[in-house]
Amino acid sequence: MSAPMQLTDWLDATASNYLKDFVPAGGSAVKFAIAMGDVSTSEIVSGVSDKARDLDFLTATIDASRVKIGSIEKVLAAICEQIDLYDLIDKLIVNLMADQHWVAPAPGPEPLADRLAAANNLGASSAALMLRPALESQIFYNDQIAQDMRAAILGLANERLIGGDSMVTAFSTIGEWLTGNLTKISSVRRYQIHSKVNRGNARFLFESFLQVIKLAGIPGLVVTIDISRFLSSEKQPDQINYAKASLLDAYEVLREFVDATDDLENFLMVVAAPMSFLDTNTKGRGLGRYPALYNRVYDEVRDRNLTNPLSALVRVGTAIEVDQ
Amino acid sequence: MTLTISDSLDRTSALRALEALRNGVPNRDAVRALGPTQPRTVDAFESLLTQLDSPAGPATVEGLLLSADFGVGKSHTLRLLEQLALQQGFVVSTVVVSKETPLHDPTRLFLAAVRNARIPDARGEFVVNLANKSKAKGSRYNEFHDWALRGQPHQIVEASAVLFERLTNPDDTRAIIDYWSGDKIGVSDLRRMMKETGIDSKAFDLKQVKQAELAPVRFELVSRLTRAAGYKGWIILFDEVELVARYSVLQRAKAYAQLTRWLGAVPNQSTPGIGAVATISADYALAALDGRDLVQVPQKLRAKGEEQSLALLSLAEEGMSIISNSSIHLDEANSQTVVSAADRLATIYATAYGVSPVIDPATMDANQFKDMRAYVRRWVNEWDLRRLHPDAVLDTEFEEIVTSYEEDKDLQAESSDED
Repeated sequence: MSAPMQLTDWLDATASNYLKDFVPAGGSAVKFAIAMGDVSTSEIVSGVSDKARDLDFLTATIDASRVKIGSIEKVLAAICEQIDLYDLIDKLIVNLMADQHWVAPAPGPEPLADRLAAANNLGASSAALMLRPALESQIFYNDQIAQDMRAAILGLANERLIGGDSMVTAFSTIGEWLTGNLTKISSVRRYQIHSKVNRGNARFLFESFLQVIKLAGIPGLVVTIDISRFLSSEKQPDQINYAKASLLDAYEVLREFVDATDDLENFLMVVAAPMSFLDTNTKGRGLGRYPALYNRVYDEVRDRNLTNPLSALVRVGTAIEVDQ
Repeated sequence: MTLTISDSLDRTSALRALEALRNGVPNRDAVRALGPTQPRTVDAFESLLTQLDSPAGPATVEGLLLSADFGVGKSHTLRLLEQLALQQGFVVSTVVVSKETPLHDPTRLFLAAVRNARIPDARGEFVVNLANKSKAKGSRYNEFHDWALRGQPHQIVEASAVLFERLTNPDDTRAIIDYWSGDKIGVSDLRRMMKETGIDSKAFDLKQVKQAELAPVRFELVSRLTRAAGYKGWIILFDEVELVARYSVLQRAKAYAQLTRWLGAVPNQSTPGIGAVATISADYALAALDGRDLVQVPQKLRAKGEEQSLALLSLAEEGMSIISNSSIHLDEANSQTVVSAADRLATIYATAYGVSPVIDPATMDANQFKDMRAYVRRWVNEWDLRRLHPDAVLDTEFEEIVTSYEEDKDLQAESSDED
């Protein structure tokens, strides 16, 4: 087995190869980082998130002990809970008018349309009128984005321009829709959103969400998932417990993300796992438990001495001494 | 028609291709750049597409079963076939057999096929896209409508088709499309919609149908809707069928029966307008059928004695026979394919990183591995390491990946909310 890579070296390599290059250019990757020796999974998570934020990515961190990874809609919900929708919509609106060289407005209590007009020497109603063609062409008619997501983003953008109580209601209600907290679908019908987020539509909604992030001029989204909880069968009262069946469901969701990189853009997922994840026993709790994931990420071809930081699975930290 | 090999990927696509190859999962860019390596399979698939695109209406065709050892290129070939089908105007779904998508469960297969469908000229929301396009398509839509009203057994489905034609409320139309996609719909909602559109709901027996019974009808409905939308047919690609070995005996029997329905063109059992291709590991027959399922499956089903079980046995035995005797065995790596792959991969790598990698002759020995995956992974890994550590002496090691065929009870269990 190759020696692990120092965490700082791997973080630097990830930043230069993925965060500064491939991902902002539209690429997408899923990496498994195995915490070895004196490095913890939480250090991997915080290291990746810090690097990403420094480069203006949106970030979300997920702990498998708090979020049921076996449900892709819950993973999407956990991601959306960590995204500032107001900031996203503001960036989207300004970036849609990038060819008009609009500047971002100063923050303030006035409706965004007024602030945009002031910042760009426009009449108040002109800003909204000028935005309409861009919103139509890049959101309304954009079939790369799911219909419900188009409706959601248009609803948020229009309400953001207007401001006031209706804006607050829209962001709250549509936020509930995205984060899986909606009790009645009828609450979002007025925004032309037709379906709750469920297993059937979650993946395309996530792809669509990434498209919106890209349209907002943001380099991308970086999601880190700490799966330490997978490796323990001990039930904990305040945590998600992964019995064997639900463990397989969780590995299936991760496998789906690996396979979906063809359709995802501007996205990096780093799965941080403890060393026990490398257990190849088909009856254990590690990678060997789920052949479809094992076949994809396990480094059965590797150098004896050097770690490739671009590999799907990378051992990060310090070497473990083995008693002879 | 053959897939256009892309000699000129842009840099991001080249990086994408390499990223997928590092995961052992070839993506669209990788297959376009590496090209086809299984001519017999491509020819057989082209023939399947031709048969499916019948002017006389949706045809029932025999599918293909592809077998190979791990790493030889089953997934790569499926991805290539996907591209071929999309290029020629078919819609394509890829279903990876898994705990969540077991081959013996048509309901979950349907949901996975819808979830993972690709349309040549649109993204996502498969049935929504088909439904929206279908209404504008004239005679083909009429064929779909005729079938929904006269060609299938459930009046609730008939009612949904009648409503689809008449509804103007977008929420209600979406509810119908979602029903076709696998969601439930309330009878009271249907009655309300009928009342609002002037349809006599008493004219229909709106009894709910169990999801398992609806699954084959939904497959055919979506298949016909595909043609109504102007596409030539629906291709479903089943990957990793060898996972079937880890289910219980009865589930394996049902899975083999499903395989027969998908691949065997069984009258009244196979779905018109759908062409299926499945992949399975080359040693499946030896490891799971001989001495095990060829004995256990008949024992289990004959012990039940019911007519239904004996009918299932007939289909299951046919499925096992297909596995043993009728698969197309993919070609293993040979000197020509190794050289060709190395050259193409080197071109991709140069596009991605601006540096032409050196192809070490020691890595080109076609006798070293049967599977192309080992070569590809070695090349990409060594080129990465040479780029990052130009002075290092590399020492690549290989670990065998072994497929297990033992039953796994956890694959059969539902996870609960308490888990």
